[in-house]
Amino acid sequence: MRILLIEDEADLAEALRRTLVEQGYACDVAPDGYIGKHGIENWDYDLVILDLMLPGVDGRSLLRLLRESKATPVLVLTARADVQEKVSILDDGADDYLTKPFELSELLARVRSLVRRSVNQPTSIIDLGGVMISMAARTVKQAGVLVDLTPKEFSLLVYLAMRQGTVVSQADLYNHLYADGEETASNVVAVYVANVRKKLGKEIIRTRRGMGYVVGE
Amino acid sequence: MLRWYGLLMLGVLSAFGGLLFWQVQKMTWQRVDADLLSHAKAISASLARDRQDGWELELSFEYLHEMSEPTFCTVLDGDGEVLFHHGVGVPEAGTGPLAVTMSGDIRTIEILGRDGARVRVGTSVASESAFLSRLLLGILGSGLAVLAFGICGGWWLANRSLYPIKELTMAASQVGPRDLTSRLDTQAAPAELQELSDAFNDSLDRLALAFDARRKFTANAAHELRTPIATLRAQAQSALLNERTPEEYRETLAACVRASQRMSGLVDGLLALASVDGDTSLSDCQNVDLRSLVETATEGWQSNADDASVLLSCNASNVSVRGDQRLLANVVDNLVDNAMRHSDADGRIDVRLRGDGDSAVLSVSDLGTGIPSEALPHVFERFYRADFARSRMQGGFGLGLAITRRIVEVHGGTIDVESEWGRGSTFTVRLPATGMAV
Repeated sequence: MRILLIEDEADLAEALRRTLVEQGYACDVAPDGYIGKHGIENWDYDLVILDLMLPGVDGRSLLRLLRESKATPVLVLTARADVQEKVSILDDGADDYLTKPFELSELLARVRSLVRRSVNQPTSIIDLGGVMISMAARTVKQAGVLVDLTPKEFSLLVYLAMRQGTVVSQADLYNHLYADGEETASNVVAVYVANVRKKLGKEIIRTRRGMGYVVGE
Repeated sequence: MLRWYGLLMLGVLSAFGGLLFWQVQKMTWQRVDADLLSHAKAISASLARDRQDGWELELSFEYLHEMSEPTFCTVLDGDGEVLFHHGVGVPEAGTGPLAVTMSGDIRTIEILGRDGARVRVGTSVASESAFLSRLLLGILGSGLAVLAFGICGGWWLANRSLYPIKELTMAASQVGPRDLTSRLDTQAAPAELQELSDAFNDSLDRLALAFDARRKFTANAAHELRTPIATLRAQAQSALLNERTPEEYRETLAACVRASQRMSGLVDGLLALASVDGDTSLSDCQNVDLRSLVETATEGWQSNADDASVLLSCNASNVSVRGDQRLLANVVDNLVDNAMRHSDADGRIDVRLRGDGDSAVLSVSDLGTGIPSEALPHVFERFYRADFARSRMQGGFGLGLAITRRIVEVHGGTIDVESEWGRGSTFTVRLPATGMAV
């Protein structure tokens, strides 16, 4: 899952970025509205976290822009907690909001919820036959036994699992697992797929020659 | 109020009625008396002494007949013996040369004739008395009626003119910090009260503005504080999520310190603003040697300027003002600080102080980034940051210039800015001077 974080406060952005990455997301940070706008226009993020207090392009108009162009879910961060503000934020198109200061755990839960929503995944448990993925707990169980996956492996599996039955191209997988500027080897996706197969068995992820990977079916 | 009005009306009407009645009564009796007197004189003139020392009255029969009823006359001699009597009427004793007496309905006049003889003429004044009684009743009656009417009318008029005051009172009592939007309907008020209503509405406008500004300010302040708090929390919680290396912990702690510094800076700025805000008078007022103050303050920035490769120069002439030393030093600091923030390396900041007429003129100019023209009218507003990104990075809150302006205002001065985007800015402060040397 690739997230765009539009936040100008450097220390806050770094704390959030690190946490999201550790949770297995790919995270791009835009330090102002202009770069944020550019990012939104040129990329298909799975989620945008937008801080309303932004230099450059006004956060609200950015929100509206997002709403008009893409279906990407938007989580808004705002310092104002009054009802009027909340109402207008939601009416302007935000899918969810969080008032600063917030608990990190709450942010993560809301992120999970929004990502689920974006693929119509109603609960945080995905059942892939023998394999049960709990997104909230970030655990994978096979036949009831806990299997240890690295964050990137987990992300890859979840990304495919949320699109059960759909073939996802390698390029697509790559773009949704890695942020701009992250250095990777060119076959990194294949490596991760192999890793997951090693831990959960070959059938968990199927290859469709020339098209990509698929889970389930 | 009405009581006094009623009493006043009563007094006035009574006085008027009383005077009127008295005049009429006086005139009535005067007429009657004049009549009686002329008769008495005529009769007295007709008295004569005959050869036997008796009395003779030569009054013609016609004359006697002329004396209309119910008039009568009586002539008495010196000893009180009745010499002559005509007409119905009871003679009454009088005293003095011209005695007028009235007994019941008979009014008598008595004059002294020759040799001690007395002539009395009287008449019944029943009709006059009746007339006067009726007049008195009439005056009383109409007086009461007028009084009643006047009181009612006055009460009605007073109420009418008080009604808008009552409305004003009600409207005024509803105004409070929660609802400063209601205004009085000045159209409905009569002319005399319109001025009052207008003045009241104007104060409400000013109050609403002040309250609004306060509310916005408080909201902005709280709002500004939330972000560094969020940073602090996010950094700490993120660090706690996993095992971290000491280096990472150090980083996190450093970020926490930065956030706390930001909060502290903001709180200081807010407090400074609050303290100059409340006071419109200076508590610590003395004669300040502005030249030495400016030179000292500028010197304080020299090392910062050197570090940033900015040329800082100061040229101050001898001027003094009345004011608070500390606050005025703040002004210089804020302006130089602002100039520093806008200047890049190899920049230049000039601090000038001179006297001009009866003012001290302080100018701080820089050759830095300048202020865009759309931002220019807003630079002195609280929390306003023309170049948001830059000031955020430097830890600015947008309060420095607002505080500066407030200090200048409290000292009775003015502050202006001239700027061109990309070329630099000049801030000019004018203060009333108390002394200068050319």
